Amino acid sequence: MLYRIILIALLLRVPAAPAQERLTPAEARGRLIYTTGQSPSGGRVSYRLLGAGEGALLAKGVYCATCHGLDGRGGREGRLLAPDITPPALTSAAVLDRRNRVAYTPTLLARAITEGTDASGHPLSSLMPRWALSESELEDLLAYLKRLGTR
Amino acid sequence: MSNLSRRTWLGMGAAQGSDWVTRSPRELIRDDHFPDVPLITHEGERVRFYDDLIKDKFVTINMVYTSCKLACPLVTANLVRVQDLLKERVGRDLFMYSITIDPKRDTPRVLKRFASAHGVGKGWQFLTGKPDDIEHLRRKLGFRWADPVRDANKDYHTGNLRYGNEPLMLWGTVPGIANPSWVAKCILFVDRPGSGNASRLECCTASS
Repeated sequence: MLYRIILIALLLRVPAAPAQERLTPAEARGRLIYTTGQSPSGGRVSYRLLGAGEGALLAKGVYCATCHGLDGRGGREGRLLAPDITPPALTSAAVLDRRNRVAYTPTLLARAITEGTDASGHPLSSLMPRWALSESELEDLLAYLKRLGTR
Repeated sequence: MSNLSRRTWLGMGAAQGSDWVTRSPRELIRDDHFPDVPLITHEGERVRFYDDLIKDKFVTINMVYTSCKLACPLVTANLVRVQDLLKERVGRDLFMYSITIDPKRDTPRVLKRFASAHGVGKGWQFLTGKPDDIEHLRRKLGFRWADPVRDANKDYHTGNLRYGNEPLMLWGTVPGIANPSWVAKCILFVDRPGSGNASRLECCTASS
């Protein structure tokens, strides 16, 4: 019975979902990075993990969506927090883990992804990978991040 | 008590089941920490935790679950680098085990997918089993919190790695996310004396 209610609820939700606009090629490449860790130019993107030395790790089993979710809304796990990174969350000031941060601009967001520094200049959690992305990979990813949560 | 002979006293201890009389230190560690519960590997093989995975072996043990979003993927990714540093020893005379704390969801097939997504190499097994057995194992292994509320919430699982040499009775723990060459070095500290010197040195000098 419960399953039937859930099923009906799911079926009812589908037509109510906003019409999906097609992704631009850059956004589609960005989605590949976000949801799989694969680079549009082949292979995988890599990252550094603070506390785990300077060596680079390949994005195998670890990529944006692992922690922030396919919808970008993030979540909490015990004391650990993966923040909501949908556009409404990032483009407004927020208080995260009792610390204020100003709104992100694209430049500040790029810095957060690659250097792990938030919009107000504070270091992000050591669990946030510091992503080593090429210029084009970063552009693609930023393009897709603007679409997060709208689909 | 003073007029009892040593033998009589020992005999009484044995009769009452005093641990240090009836069991060797190795057996004490086994009985307190390594229940011989049945488990299934990510390859679908049925094993016993103590007899097949721990006894006479040099091992690492951690606990993960595949729906874990934050810590487990990063710990696993870091341990893949540790596995690379330990090279061919993993699977030959050093074995890595990751036990799920979410056995209902983490079937062998789910674990296999998780392992291959992370590029886990041979000699590293992901294990699942009956929920009660896994819970018993988790408590015995000490992957737990003293606070019962926190302990009941798997989101608070520890990201630690236990490592040890069962016959030598040497055991230790390191954080799962630490410099991989340092983690590898810690693991090799409980290696058989003399056997791993070459690889120990290699790990010490390997760049992370």
